[in-house]
Amino acid sequence: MKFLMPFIILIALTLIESGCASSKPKLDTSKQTPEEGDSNIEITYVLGHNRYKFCAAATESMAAGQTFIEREKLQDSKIDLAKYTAFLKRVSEFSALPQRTPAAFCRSPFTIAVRIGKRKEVLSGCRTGNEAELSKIIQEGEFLLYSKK
Amino acid sequence: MQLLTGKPCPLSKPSISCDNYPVRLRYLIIGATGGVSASALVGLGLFWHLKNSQPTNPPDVSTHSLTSETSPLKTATDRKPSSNFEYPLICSDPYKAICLRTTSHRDPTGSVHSDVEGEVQALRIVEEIIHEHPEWTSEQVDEELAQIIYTPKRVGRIQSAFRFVRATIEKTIRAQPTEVFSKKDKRLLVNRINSVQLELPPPAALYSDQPDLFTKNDVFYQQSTNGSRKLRVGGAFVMSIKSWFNLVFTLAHELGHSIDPCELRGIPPEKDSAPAAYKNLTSCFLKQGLVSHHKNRSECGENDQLSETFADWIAVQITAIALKEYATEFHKPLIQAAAMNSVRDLCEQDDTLNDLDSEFHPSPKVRIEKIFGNSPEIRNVLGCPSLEGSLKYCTLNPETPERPKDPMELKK
Repeated sequence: MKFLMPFIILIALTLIESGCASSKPKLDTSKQTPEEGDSNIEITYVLGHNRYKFCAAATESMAAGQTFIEREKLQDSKIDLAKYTAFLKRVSEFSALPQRTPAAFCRSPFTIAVRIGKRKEVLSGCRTGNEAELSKIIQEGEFLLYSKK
Repeated sequence: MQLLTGKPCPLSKPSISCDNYPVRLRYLIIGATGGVSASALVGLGLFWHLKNSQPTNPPDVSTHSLTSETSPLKTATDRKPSSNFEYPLICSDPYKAICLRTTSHRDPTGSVHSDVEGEVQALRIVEEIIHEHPEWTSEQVDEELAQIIYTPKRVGRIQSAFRFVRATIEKTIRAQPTEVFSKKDKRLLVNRINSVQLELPPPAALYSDQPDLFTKNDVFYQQSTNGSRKLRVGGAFVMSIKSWFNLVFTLAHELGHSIDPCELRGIPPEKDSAPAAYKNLTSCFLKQGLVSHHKNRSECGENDQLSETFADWIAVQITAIALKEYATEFHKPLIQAAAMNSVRDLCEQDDTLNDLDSEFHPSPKVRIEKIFGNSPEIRNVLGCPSLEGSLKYCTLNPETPERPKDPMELKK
């Protein structure tokens, strides 16, 4: 297991990079359920005058995440896998909810991209109107980065 | 005294004989004189330092009309500038003076740190809390985070700045002649300003619908669907902004949104409750390029910067009043530092990847150079010369557009 660890880390980092670059996933699995297989999450949103990005990715045995403000990386760390799985489920459920869009134009848009195995879903919406739930998801993602010592 | 009596020097070194009374006395006198002089110098230096650096309480609000001539500078020197006199860079190129310096400015009330710094600090606190209490719920973490970041001292400071800003905007509105704002206009604007609530944790539950604000560096004006208006302050902002003048500018900008031309549209019973004077102001903003002429610009809609330009314009007026009040207590370099700090954080937005931001905000160069740097009030308090040419700063009154006055002329 110790021998395989560097490879697992490399795979996880590759997944994160592929997710954050919004390119096609480099690893191809046929696993469909949120509980198994490779997956990644990317949430980008505008708040005030800044653009933020949160990324997280996981293999079967480990998970890692990063958060950015504009070009600057704020945090980069491993994530507790069980908590990541619960977070992935929550984000998937949020993405499936009907989004409330305000009547006027949107000054604080967001995009959520979730990939589970081969399946990928992208949702775009406006923070105004979906404020509470999105804000909680973002905070949960930030807390996730500190879930593993 | 022992030396003068001729008695042996008990602690004298063998090489120094007690026969050398005159020499010893000379050394004593010289040493004593030196000690007294040094003490006097230290005392003077301390007095000077205290006079210049001690922050005072927020100033009393003075009446200020946006259409009247500005009052003479209190800190202007008596001497006429000689032909070799050079005005500071902030007069000729405020963007360069404020944004392209690598070192941070420190004014007597503090400095301004980068957005990233504040957010990293806030996230470090989150990390510590979670590692110390891994079993806590997110609500418990939020409560602890709110207690650590929103200390009584920090909250008190923000509340004090908010009260100053609100009172100053109100006084400024009331000071306008009836040709600019009618009684009805004044009532509407003052009511809206006074109805904005400043919401600051603790308790953390105040931000329960936006918990990610605790780690964000921004201040937000919001109007809820039920009509309530509030101002919220991100936790990272609380930690990164130390300069009182930056606080004033930021709060004045956000509070300005409560009375901006777009916010006033659609208020019943009229279709558009914005005062007529706003039209003149909007027209001036467009003429001077303070509001960009985007191809598909829709006023108060997509690709429109009117709200943000107006909010900046109000913030500049209020900040100028704050700077003018402190001009009686600070020397010129400190006032310049305070002025630079008031808009220092706008510089970072020049580096943004966020196209949306440039859609709704003028560029940092426009905000700092044109809206802030061309303001006659700001130029007067900084001791900058009047602007040449036909450039007239935008005012509410179209009949007597405010031309920046030469501070030297005001003294005649």
